[in-house]
Formats: sequence, C-alpha cells, structure tokens
Amino acid sequence: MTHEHLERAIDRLGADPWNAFIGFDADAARERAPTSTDGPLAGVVVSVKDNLAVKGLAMTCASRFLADYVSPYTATVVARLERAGALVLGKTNMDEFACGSSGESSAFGPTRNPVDQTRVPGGSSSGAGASIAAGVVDAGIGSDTGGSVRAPGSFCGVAALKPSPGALSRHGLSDLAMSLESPAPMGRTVANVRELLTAMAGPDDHDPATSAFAFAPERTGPLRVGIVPQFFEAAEPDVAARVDAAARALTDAGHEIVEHSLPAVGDGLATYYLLNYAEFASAMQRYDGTRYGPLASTPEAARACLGPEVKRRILMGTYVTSREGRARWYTRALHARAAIARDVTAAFQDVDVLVGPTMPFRAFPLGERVSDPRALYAADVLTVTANLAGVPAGTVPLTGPGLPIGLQVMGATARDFDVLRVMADVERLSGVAA
Amino acid sequence: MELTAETLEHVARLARLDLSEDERETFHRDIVHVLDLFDALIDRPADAGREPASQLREDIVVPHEDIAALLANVPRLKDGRIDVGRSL
Repeated sequence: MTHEHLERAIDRLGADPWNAFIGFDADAARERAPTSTDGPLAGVVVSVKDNLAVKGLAMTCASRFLADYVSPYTATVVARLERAGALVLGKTNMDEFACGSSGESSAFGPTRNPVDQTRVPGGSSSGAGASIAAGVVDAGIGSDTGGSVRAPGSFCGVAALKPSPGALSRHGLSDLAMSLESPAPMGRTVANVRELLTAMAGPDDHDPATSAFAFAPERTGPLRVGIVPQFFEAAEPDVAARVDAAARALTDAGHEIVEHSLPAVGDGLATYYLLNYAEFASAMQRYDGTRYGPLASTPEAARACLGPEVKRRILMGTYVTSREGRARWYTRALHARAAIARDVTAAFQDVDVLVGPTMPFRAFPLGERVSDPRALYAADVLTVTANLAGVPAGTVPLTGPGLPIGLQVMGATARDFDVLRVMADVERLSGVAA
Repeated sequence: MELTAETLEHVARLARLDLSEDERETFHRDIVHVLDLFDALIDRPADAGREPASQLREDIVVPHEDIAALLANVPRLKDGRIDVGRSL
C-alpha cells in the first residue's frame, strides 16, 4: 500500500517543472521505502530539505561546494519520520546554505511557485513548499532560521510550523545560525504538520538542547488571541485586511480577540540579520575544503564556488564581529535581541497567542528582488521575531482570490500545540480547507 | 565609522575569500547600504554595554559509527588521514 503512494508521488513529480528537488532519484526513493506498512505515518510521502542528512544520499545545501557530499548518517528527525512509517521521496531545493527568503539563490537554479510559475515560492525551504503545493507529497521537513518554512508556506499556500527551540533535534541539520534555527514541519493541512511534529519531537542524545525540553499540554478552553498592530502596519493593505478578518473570525471558535502592541518588533529585522551574519560566518569557517568540498589548493580557492549571497553574508558576519565592527553591530544586536525576547515573553502574560500576517506581501515575480539584498531581507520583517524570541510560530493559508496569503500564529515557548490548535481553527473558519 | 575599501579587503582576508574586482565593488556597495539601513532600524545605543554571556557546554567525544563514510567525503586523503596542506 505504501509503495502505491510512493509511485503516485513519483508520477506527480514527473519532470519536476518547479525545480523542487535536487538530484531526484526515483530508484533511490524506492530502495529506501520500508517493507512494513506499520506506524502512524504509514503511507505518508515526505520530502526532506537538502540541508538535512539522509545516509547514503547527497546533501548539497544547494551549493556547488557540497555538490559531491554524501551524508554518512541520517538526521534524527528524518530517522524518526521513517520509523513512524513515512516514505522519503527525495531532497528538496533551497536557497544556498539557507541564505535567502525567495528560493532563488540555489546553485541548482531557482524553485518555481506551483501556484504561479512566474513567481517565487519563498525560501529558504523553497522546494519543500513547492513539493507540497504541487501535490507531489503530503508533507515535508524544512528548516526555519528567520522564516524559512513560513515564507514558502505563505507564498505557496501550505501550512508550516517553526517549533520551539529544543523541540526538534538539530542533529543532522547543517547548522548555519544555530541560536536561531530548527528543523520545521510543513504540510498540506495543519493536521499534517501536527503529525510530523509529534513523530519528530523528543529528546536526542546528539542534541543537548532537546534534553531539557518538554511541550506544555495543549489548552482546551477559549484562548486570548492578541492582534499585533505592528505586524499589520508592516503589511500591504489587502494582505493586512484579509488576515485581520480571519483573525477576528476566531471569535466563532470561542476565542477572545484583543489588541496587543509589541514595540520591539521594529528592531527585529536588523537584529536578526546582524546575528544571522555573525553566526553564519562562524559556521562557514568549516567549509575550507579539507574534510569535504571541492579539491583545491587553498581554502580561498575552495570557497570561490560559493554564491554571491553566501559570500556577502560571510563578509558581513566577519565584519560585524571584527574588532572594528563588534561594538557597533554585534553587541547592539545581542542587546536588542534580549529586549525583543523580554517584550514577547511579557506579551504571553497577557495573551495566549499572537496573530498577524506571515509575510508582508504575496509571492513576487522571479528575479524582481534578486539584485537588491535590502528588498529581499525586508520580506522577513514579520517572521524573524519568533526566532529571536525563541517561541513557536506557524503559518496557515487563507482562502480567497489571488495568490496565497498566510496568517501567522505565535505562542509562548513550549506552547507549540496551542499554536497548532489556533492554526487549525483558522484553517476551519477561513482557510483553504474551510 | 565608514566601511572603507581597505577594511573590506582586510575582512575578506579574515573570511578566506578571494574577491574579484567586480565582487569587491558590488559587495562594498551592498554592505554599506545594508548597514546604513540597519543603523536606522536598530533602536539600541552603540555603547549598549557588555555582551550578554553565552552559555557553553562541555565538549563530549563520541566515536562515529561509520568512519569510512565520513572519510569518503574528504577531497585529499593520504594513508587514511586528511591532507590539510601546509599552513605555514
């Protein structure tokens, strides 16, 4: 039975007109398929972002630097999905080393949005979003450092959750900004996302952050839902109006709607990028061509094949942590992050969840922002807060005319299942599955 | 403090990146633009005091289950060891 599902996914992928996968190999997928059909995810076909290790498969991080790298082990989250019966179809395209919000910076070419192939799918988990939106797979694993599953979720019309830090093991995830990122489930429905999160979560000896983590029990009564005016002010008017209507419709599910201001959100974008650059430049030091990478005479020669956005971020990170730039940039960003985390933590003394638009606009045309890093970075203005504050945040697609729009739900740390509950309520009342 | 072309050159050396003339110009322009924007956006004083301390854990050595698979990705192996070339 499970193999029928796999064959159907292979048929749907066809020649992959969305460029959603990297190095897709149908026979390798068939070989990995378990013979047993047991488990809570039996028959669920999933895609895996190409920055997560699957033993014996290439893991390129969408970079020429890792074009020949073969994973020597399997990421904990992938192993747990397979143990639950899921079938891994293949590795999905992404922005190179997760550096991007549009899905255009892959060394293997941009991913196309299945809803409109002239538009970006959102990134960096671009292929994960596209593989679900195209109906190839039911669900996928991406990773989220500043919105990398929520952007493709919003642009492609897919549900996604960035979990609390420590909920999912990062063992086998190529770490790029380790204080901010997590593996993250995506799915056609909120129920798919919940199933994946449940199967992947739990302590892992390979990731100490998971040992002290436990989800808070899901609350069952009415919740206090905070509408954050700063999130709506940053979005285009029609996006803000649709999300506002969907948020207010949550009263039909018995929830109470209140306004809750979050002034520190204004610092989020700059703070996020400064810390991302710093951690990324540090993480990329290992890419020197000795343990993996292209055969080259020097680290500089090996690193020449890195793409422009990767080089730009390495330079920025090296500069903002250098003697010349540290006090002005990196130290300021650390303090701003602490202030943002305090603001968000205080908000959850007043409300149970915070809602707003996931992205400030709909999917934009391929190539429109690619040469302007400031315009690309601006896309992340509404998603980075959750990563900086260390709280869970999900996106759920809304029904309506035009390109997809996502509504974002943020909860307190460890309250991931409250977030999923509100996402499911939005999906039922105003979502594409309504 | 302005990011000069000389500072960028120094930063590129620290980052082990050889930049072409075109890259030097483009990255210099991009980085100045982005940092200008961030300067306006981030509402914290430049002298925001000591950095919040990081919490570090002890490193724990764990043997890998499949050394051969690890070494299979090494570009230059010599007698089963990683050849890192001269550093001095």
